[in-house]
Amino acid sequence: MLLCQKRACNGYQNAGEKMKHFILLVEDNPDDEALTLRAFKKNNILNEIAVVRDGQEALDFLFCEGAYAERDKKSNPQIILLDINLPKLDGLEVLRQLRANESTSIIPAIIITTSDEQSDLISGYKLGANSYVRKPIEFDAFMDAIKQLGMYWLVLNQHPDN
Amino acid sequence: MSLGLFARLGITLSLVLSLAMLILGAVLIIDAEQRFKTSQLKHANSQSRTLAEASLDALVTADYELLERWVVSVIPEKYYAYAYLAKSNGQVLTHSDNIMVARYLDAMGELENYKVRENTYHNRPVMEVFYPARIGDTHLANAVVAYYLDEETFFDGGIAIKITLLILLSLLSLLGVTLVIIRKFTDPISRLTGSIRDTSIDNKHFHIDDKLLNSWGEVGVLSRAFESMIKRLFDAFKELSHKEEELKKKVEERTSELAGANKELQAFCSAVSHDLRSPLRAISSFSQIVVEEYGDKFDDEGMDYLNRIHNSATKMEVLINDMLQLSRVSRQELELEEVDLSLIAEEILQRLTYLEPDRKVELNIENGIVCYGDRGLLIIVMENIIGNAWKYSSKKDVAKIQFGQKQQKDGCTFYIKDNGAGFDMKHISKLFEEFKRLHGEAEFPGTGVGLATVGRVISRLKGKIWVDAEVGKGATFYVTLPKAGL
Repeated sequence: MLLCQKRACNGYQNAGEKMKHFILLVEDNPDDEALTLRAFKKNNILNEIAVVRDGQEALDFLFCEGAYAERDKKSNPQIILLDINLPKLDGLEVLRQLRANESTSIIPAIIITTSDEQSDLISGYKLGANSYVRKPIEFDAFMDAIKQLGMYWLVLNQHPDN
Repeated sequence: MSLGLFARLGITLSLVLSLAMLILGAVLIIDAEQRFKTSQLKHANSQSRTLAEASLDALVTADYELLERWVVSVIPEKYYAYAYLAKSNGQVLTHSDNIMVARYLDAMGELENYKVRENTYHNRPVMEVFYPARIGDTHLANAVVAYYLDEETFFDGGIAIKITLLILLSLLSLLGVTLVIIRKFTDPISRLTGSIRDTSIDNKHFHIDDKLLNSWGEVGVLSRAFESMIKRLFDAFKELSHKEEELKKKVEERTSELAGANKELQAFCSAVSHDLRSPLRAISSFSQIVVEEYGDKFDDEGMDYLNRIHNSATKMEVLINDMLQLSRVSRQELELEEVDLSLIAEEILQRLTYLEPDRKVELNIENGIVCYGDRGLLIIVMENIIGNAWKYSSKKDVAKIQFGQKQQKDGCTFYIKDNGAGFDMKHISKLFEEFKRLHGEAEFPGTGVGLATVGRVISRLKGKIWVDAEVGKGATFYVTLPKAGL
């Protein structure tokens, strides 16, 4: 029963332990996952990162269901980085359910996606995304984006505690 | 004409008949009057002759009493005024009006025969009839009988009334008969008119009596002709609406086919947008990371190859973006409005200046140039042309970029002028073709899609674009957009 990727969580596997200020990354592409984690590391963002691979897994994690039934319900991620194109349930559907549920409705959700379709942009905001960022091709630009995201959402932005 | 045929005919004939009857009546009455006058005269003639001949003996014997009796007896009727006998010199021998005896009236001389004269008596007009009383050649006296001309006895006789009544009766019965007859003739016409008027093409209602269709003469001909004409019209209409239905169906089919094709294209572009970019990012990013983390382990050639990998990935992203834009430009629905192009030019140039603050560029942007078109598409046009102006003037010490308006009657014309590398006008046909470039990648980077996109937008907006360029001196792009409502 994996609670998150070993690498990212620095060995954390236990159900009962609280994970404060962790980031939930919802990403199906292993390359993008690797790049994102590297970008966080290179920018000295040391928060723990939980990774889930599809929309269903994301919801199971957040609502502590299915494979994540043992997870601590009171422990919510500080921010969620959400891709739109995901297997099983897409990112927008995850967002909708996220916002519909009382316990998870105010978690900041940042859509990071390749899509530059206006419709996705509009839907994202309509469904309650806090931010929408396009994944740049250039790694430099990506690094920069992650840095700015980190600075803003993890440091500058105020959020009520879980 | 609000009156029907029957009414018009009826009125006309009634008037004509009445007039005819009136004339007839007048003629008859005048004729009767003439006859009466003639008979009056004739009677007076005979009376005067009677008086003359009857008086012969009495004249010879000078029996004045007898003469007096004769004179009185000869004027029995009311309308006789007087009678007298007078000598040829006018001396009255005896007169029905005693006062006149021995007076001298007009001397008529020795008359040979009748003589008729008008006169007045007590202020009334009279007609005097003279007849000579002669024995052989000897003229004894003139006998005179006078009757009133203005006596109303004619009308007492009631002939006038009789005639008038007769005329009226004839007129009425004639009118009656005439109206019945013309009704018989106008009735079919009225019915045909009614049928024609009631024919409604929308409700497909028309009906003409069989009686009308079978009748002789013009009405029959009209009815049959009309019926066949309407039948053909109805058939034609049915055919037309049928064809219309078919056409509508075809159009709907085509439209849904087109919508389907468009949707497919949209989905395709969306897929491209996601699925091509992800591996591209991997190529670009990981090659860069390798350079960062393991760069010291590579020799110059190795680094060169890695950089080429990285640059190709970057170029590919630009190409994908440009191609997606090109495809979107054709698909998107137009939202037409008045667009301030000067503002857009300023924004674009501001951004370009921000990205390359070290470049020396002289800008000349005319304010207030507003054209009618789709805002999004016009932004793409401006970005591409101004972007080109910026790019191709990058090798000059001081780049000069100008944006202005050209006054033209039928349309909104603007131009973007640069003093950059320009190009040879003989290659102008390639300018707007996809992927065709007039400069090498090393000179100026580019995908060759930008102006193709611009060309497509302009043609969608039904505008015109043309260029003036000279190698080394620069290029001026002119765009004309139709005014609103055209």
